[in-house]
Amino acid sequence: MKRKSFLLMMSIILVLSMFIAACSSKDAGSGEGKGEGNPEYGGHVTLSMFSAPKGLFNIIFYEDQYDNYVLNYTTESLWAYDDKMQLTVPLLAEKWELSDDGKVVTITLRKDAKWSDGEPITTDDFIFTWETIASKEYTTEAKAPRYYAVEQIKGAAEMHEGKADSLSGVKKIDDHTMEVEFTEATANALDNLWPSPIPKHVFDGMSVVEMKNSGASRNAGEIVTSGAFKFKEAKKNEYVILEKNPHYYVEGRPYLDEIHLKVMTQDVAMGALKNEQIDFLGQINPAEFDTIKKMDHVTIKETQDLAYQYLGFKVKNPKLSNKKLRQAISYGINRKAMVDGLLRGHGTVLNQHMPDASWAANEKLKDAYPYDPEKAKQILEEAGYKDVDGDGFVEDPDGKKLEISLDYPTGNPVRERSAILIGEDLKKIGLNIKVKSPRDFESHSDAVQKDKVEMWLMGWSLVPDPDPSGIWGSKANWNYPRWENKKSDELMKKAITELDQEKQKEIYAEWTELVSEEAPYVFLYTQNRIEAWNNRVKGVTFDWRGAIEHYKFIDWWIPKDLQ
Amino acid sequence: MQKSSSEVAQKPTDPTNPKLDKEQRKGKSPFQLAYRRFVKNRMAVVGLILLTIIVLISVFAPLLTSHDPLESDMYNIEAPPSDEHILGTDDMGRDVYARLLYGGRISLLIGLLTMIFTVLIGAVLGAIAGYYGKWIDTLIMRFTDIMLTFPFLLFVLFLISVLEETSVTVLIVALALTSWPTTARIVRGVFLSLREQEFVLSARAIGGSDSRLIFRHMIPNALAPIIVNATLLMAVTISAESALSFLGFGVPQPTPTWGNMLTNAMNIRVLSDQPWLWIPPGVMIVLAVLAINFIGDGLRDAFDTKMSDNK
Amino acid sequence: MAQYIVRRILISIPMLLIISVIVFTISQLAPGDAFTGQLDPKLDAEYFEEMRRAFGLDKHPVEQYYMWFTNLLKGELGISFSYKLPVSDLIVDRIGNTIFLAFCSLVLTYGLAIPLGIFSAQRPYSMLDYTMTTTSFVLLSMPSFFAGLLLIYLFSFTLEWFPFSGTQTMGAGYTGISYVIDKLHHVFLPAVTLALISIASYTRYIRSSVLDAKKQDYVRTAFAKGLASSVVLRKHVLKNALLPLITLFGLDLGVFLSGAVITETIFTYPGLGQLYIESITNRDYPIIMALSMMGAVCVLVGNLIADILYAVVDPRIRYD
Repeated sequence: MKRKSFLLMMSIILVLSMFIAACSSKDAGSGEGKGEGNPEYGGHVTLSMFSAPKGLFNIIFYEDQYDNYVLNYTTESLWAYDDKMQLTVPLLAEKWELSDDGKVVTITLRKDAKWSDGEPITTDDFIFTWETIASKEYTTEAKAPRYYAVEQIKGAAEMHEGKADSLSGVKKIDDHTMEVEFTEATANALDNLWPSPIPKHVFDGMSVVEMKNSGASRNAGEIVTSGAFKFKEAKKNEYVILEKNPHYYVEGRPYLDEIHLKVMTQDVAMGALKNEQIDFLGQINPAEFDTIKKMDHVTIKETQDLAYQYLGFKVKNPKLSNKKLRQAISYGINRKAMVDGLLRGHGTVLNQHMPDASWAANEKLKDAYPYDPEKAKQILEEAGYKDVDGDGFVEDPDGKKLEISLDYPTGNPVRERSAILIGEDLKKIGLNIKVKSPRDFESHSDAVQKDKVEMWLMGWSLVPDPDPSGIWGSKANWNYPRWENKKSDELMKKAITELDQEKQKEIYAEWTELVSEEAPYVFLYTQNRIEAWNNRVKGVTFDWRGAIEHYKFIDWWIPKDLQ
Repeated sequence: MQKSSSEVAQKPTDPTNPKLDKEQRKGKSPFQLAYRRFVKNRMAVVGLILLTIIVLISVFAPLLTSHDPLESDMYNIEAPPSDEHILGTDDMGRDVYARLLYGGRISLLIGLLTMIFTVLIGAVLGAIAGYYGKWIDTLIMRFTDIMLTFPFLLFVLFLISVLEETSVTVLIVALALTSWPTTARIVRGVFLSLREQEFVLSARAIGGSDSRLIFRHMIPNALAPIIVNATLLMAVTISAESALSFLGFGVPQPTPTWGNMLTNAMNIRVLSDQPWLWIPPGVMIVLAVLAINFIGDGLRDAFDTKMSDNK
Repeated sequence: MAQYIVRRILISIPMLLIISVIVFTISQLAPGDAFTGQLDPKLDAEYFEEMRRAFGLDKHPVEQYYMWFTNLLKGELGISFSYKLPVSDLIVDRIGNTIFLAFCSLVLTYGLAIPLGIFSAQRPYSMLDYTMTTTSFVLLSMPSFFAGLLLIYLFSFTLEWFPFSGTQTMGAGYTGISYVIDKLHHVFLPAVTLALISIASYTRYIRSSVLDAKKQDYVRTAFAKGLASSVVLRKHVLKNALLPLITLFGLDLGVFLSGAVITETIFTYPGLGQLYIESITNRDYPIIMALSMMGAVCVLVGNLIADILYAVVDPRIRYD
């Protein structure tokens, strides 16, 4: 399908959503009741899903973005990020404390938290969850992808290799207190720690594969949840109905009786919002912003997304190894026009790995590489790229013909169009760019991973934790430009072991400037996250993660006369 | 998507049944007779006129618009029709009218080339099978049967997904590779029946070579069903191009085709608010396919052949 | 007859074998697999190697084929890469929907095409006949995704008569007759979209075969005997003109999967066609291969049924 756009980008977003989804409610009370009247109980909201969830509703096994979308409403986690992307909001964890050396965290759980079947949520559930993920069978037999989320716990490696049966780094103090020891002190240890439990009393005694295939992970009637909602009915490939969890610990929440999630194509979802057949619509295409804005019964909001699109250079390719050429290309692409035109202004030109929304963003780079074709030409000229044979295209400094290819995948219509604009722009500064026919995303990533491309387009979705080493480490699998830089590695290492966030920010500033100077990427743009909802739904909180997946969904309510 | 002709040909109609027409005995060539009957068919003539117009405006696109169909303008996107852009602009600020004209070139080209390749593969294999018979026939026809067993659309999608990228060439190859078996069957049927006819037997008796027999005597007699089949094939291909485009396997941007223009406009917002984006390509596809179907139907009646009886 | 059927089935076996080789070979030619598109900075190269090993993707192609094919014979269609569930389960979940859709569209097709075709043939070359012929040609020429979306726009959003997705009302919990009505309400638009083209072509087919039948000697004889024209029409013309339709049924059976691809995609109707497209985009080869094989088997069976029915309704045909 043409609309695989979101799927493609979303395979990456798994990472992001893991954190967002895992987040859930907290004591509400803020941000509500302003001119909206007193909350009333009852009613349901309807949400759309652009493809069917795969039906694996278990937070430690799911891989599909819409499984996750559903789990968002049924899963509670230890903590959540606040509106400034700091991990400060207590949920299942009442409080937590890091030891001075940063290696041990003591977590105290709420005593009133219960599973949807009425059993208490205790430290046993968490230890059971972590040990399940760390076990060898989890990866090899159950083929599940989340080992990285417990990797830093002491003793995880031994379990993963099958040499140990339990995590030596986790210590149960009592039913509501536990200690977790990490292999090393890092600033993002808590961000990386798996925060959502599965019920031990349900899964105990099963092998990991049995857990994954058990009814308690797949059948609406059998799934035991920790969040504000539990499963009422799931019609495979069509819809999911969630109902209020009576044992949910937050007093008087949720207000809604049910949440309905329905599968429909993106093409018609906007019509469904207009006709009030759905209450929320996410992943809104910038082109639809104005149309939705005109609907009287709908609120539409946007925020910068934690994601970006980029143009990458294979820096080891002799054609692209010259930093000057890469800088000239950065100046030569009119990214502003992309944002204004393709994104209708609902986005931002980006110059670094950290989007503006992140606390680690470097202010100084805001206007790096403005569109300046003259400067681009000048840089090329100075670096020895001249049009020797008069064909309108520059030759490389050795006087040899220079043709650079640009690969891009299908799926994301905005990105596909940006490829064409890049080709046109670079032609204007005298570069002979061969814009290739787009390939499907799998073939494209295959070619990029195997270094069979020269320049390419792709995107990343990020998590609030700014640590870039997974994507930028010299030896990282995902370092597609194959840009190896000692200084960069050092800075990233230094940042992560620095526990003071202000100092961390300074280190990241140095790092982003280094990347900007070396230009292994041209950062293109971040597209805004745009979401809209029917005004009959009150109590909606919208921030950097949008409204739909915000942990404050428990505050949503609908006036009686509109239910 | 339109049912492919490959499905049609599996129908148990007898493919070798050239009825002798009364008029044929008056000594006119079958083509003259067919021509007479064709021009009497009002719908076929309308179709021919329509198609001619469509082909002409596509071929002479540069004379009919001064806009470059590829030139984008990020600051004038999805503009409604105006004096400057008589059909408005699309989501990259490109002139819809220019894209419609140039898009016709690509869409028609895909139809035409696919048709030519299909007929070439199908006719050669069919002719060999029908002329030589025996084990060659069995071998080729078994292979044809196998190819016919793959549902058309499923197979095209499968092929395109393996070929990694979609471009005009890839589309033509994939479509031709999946459409030829029908043609092969038809041609083989005609050859089988011709083989035993007197004029072929006598030509062979006086020592005509195989190639002479095939090209001088048999091919001309098989032309009528091939032409009819080829015409209808073109309609199917143009339709298939747009369907594949809808499924995300069509000709990529920036190249305009009617199929990808229509696909880009396929959502509720555009349907209700921006008719200039979907009506023109929609109408062009329907008109072109309609015209070709009219012609194909007219030709079939004119040649009085039941070979490609489209149900 | 029985002998003929047995022979046809025996011939099908080597054909299916070759088809399975072709399907497998094509899937091997593809670059990348379901894991290539999974970009997640949290996962390292080791994870992907483990996954590929777990799915047997590191083995020699011949060995992979052998494993796939022997499992196929046992009725095991493999494990989907993306769902991590047996492909057969996925197919079982959806096949009912696709059959229901195909059935409804067939009912619509025959229910409309037969009266329209006969009607058209009653007054050939009249204004009405021309209108109907032209209309059916236009329908025949309209890409079905275009028709489908226009139908949604018109009947789901403007008039709000029919739902635009799914197979039943969410959470309504209907039972008995209201359940059936709800199902029909949901399948209506997709079935119409799927049926449009066949209605058009069947109408034309019936029209011309009725016209043909009318020219036959026995019809003229019947008229000459002074039989009422309605009797002639019923007893002589229709009987002969419509019999071949039965065989078309077999052929329709063979292609229902193809037709469902686009319709199911537009209407997010959870059937096999939608599954096929999804698997193509996800490179989920176990599903693609299973559905391709299924498509081929359907065509073979459909053709066989068509031939058998043909022999049954037309006593002149004898198979031996």
